[in-house]
Amino acid sequence: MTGIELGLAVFAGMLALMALRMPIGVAMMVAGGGGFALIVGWTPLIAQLKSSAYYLFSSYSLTVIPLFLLMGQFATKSGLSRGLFGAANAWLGHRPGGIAMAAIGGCGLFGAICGSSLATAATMGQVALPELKRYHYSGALATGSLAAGGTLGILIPPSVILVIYAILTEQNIAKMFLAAFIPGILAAFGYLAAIAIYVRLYPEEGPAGPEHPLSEKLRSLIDIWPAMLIFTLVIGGIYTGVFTPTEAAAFGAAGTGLLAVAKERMGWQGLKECLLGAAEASAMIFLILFGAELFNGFLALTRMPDLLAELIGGSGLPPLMVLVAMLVLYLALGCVMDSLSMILLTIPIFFPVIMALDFGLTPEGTAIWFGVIALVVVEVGLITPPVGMNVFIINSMARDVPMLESFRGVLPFLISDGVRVVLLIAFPSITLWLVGFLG
Amino acid sequence: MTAPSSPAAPSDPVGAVLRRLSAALAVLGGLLLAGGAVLTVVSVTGRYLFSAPISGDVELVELAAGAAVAAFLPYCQVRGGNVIVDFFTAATSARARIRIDALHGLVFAFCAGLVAWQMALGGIDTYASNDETMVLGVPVWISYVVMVPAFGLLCLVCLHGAAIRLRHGVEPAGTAGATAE
Repeated sequence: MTGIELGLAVFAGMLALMALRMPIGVAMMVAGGGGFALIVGWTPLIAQLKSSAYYLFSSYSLTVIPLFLLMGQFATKSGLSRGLFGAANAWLGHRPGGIAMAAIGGCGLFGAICGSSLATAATMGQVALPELKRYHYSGALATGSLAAGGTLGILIPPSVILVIYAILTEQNIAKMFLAAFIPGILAAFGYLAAIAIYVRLYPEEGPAGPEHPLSEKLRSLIDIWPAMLIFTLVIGGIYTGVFTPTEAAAFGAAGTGLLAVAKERMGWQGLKECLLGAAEASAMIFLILFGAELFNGFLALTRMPDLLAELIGGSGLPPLMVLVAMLVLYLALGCVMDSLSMILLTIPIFFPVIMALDFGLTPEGTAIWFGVIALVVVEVGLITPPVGMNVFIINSMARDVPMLESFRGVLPFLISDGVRVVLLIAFPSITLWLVGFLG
Repeated sequence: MTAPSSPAAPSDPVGAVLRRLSAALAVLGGLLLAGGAVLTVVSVTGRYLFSAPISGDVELVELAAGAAVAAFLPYCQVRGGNVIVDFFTAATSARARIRIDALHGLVFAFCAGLVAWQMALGGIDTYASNDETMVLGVPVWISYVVMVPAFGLLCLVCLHGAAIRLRHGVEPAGTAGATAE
């Protein structure tokens, strides 16, 4: 069996195990470890296990992940979400569909201190759902906008998945975050536009809220300064190189933790809940990282990624077609798999292929641009059936809304996502401009 | 995607102990992680304001966060927090799914046990060879002191979960849901 055949066979076997409910990290471990042993024997595999977990878990560049997750947990307990939604509501609420717009705005602001989509959707849902209901918003629009708004959590830096992409592809985290900034803002405005058009078509689904006087608008800004201060410190610190990403995440965790204590009187019980929440999310990610490391070690031995890259690079296929094919595959995978697993599974194979194609950008530009587009497309899976996790979590909070309604409510946002992906592909400068300007 | 409501599980003292241990270990890991964050904040503040960073802060944070991550693993498994693809098996009966999950639990237990066993040997190696961190000379084996029991506990949690599923045909208590982001 040649390397590429063995690689494909093991890859297919791993996908089969995953389809049969084996935890994704374990399936990667079994397939990667098994394949590795088939090539170089069991003894080196077993010997490698003596220290591989130690080196992976204790690597400084990965430490940023549990710290960002802890920061997100504290942020959800800090009571900031109320102020952020309130401010967005004061400025946007009087428009048709305004309360839903405020939910999007709140999600975008919260996304600036939280790197996870589910946490953003769930936290903002707690605050915004009662308001949306009070103003008689339709279940579809209310749950749809919150589920879609949640995806801003991971698009607007900090973003756990971008950190992992940067590590996998040896890109600079600061530049990745910079690159995601404008696409993130664009996403928020795209969602606002989607709501504006939607309520023009169906005005009864999202009535305008009351107008807030200017004094109240200005006062509402006071409530968002702690969040903006933390965002500026964390992200600004990374951009300017004052902090390493790990240091910035430590500051973020400490800052949001202090806020939770000061504003919400978080005690030992609350702290324990935050630690356990961060623990569960971190363990879930690191189990997959551990499996992915074994699997990628095996893939490298088969030379499959390199051979595939040579094959596609030399085939004369139009680069754009290859890119679109990958994105379509992401959309399909997104129907059954979570975004992190998709990135870890595909990037080691896709990335060399992308880098072997000529998109008229510098190698670094190509890497950053592809990372942001992949992130956007992968996140679409969070709001599409059958396993749109964001939709599930919001729907479970709004018990009176049928699931089908929620998925219908997501539709306008999916259209907005589609438009944005086309824009990002057509104009790489949307992604790369800020990196070039500040980087 | 919550676990299907199952009949009340029979009394399960072993499971209760494993759940407590896992949660306690996770909280301990969380405190290590939070401690690492505080240490970093103090060190960076010192570096910029007083040109006096804590020497070796990076390696301490690495050790703390690494041990923390390992300590989180059993708790995540207790909570059923590890990601699975349940799309293709959604149509099968709950009984069949529980059987499949039991099987995967055994595979996971084998992997975790293998890692625990090898890491115990690896830890002894680092102890014998006096492996130390670069700046402070902290012995590396202290990290293994957390990681080896963590993988061991993970192995036990998986075995216990598989046993409950096989013997009683129900999800073990404490399982919150099967899928997460």
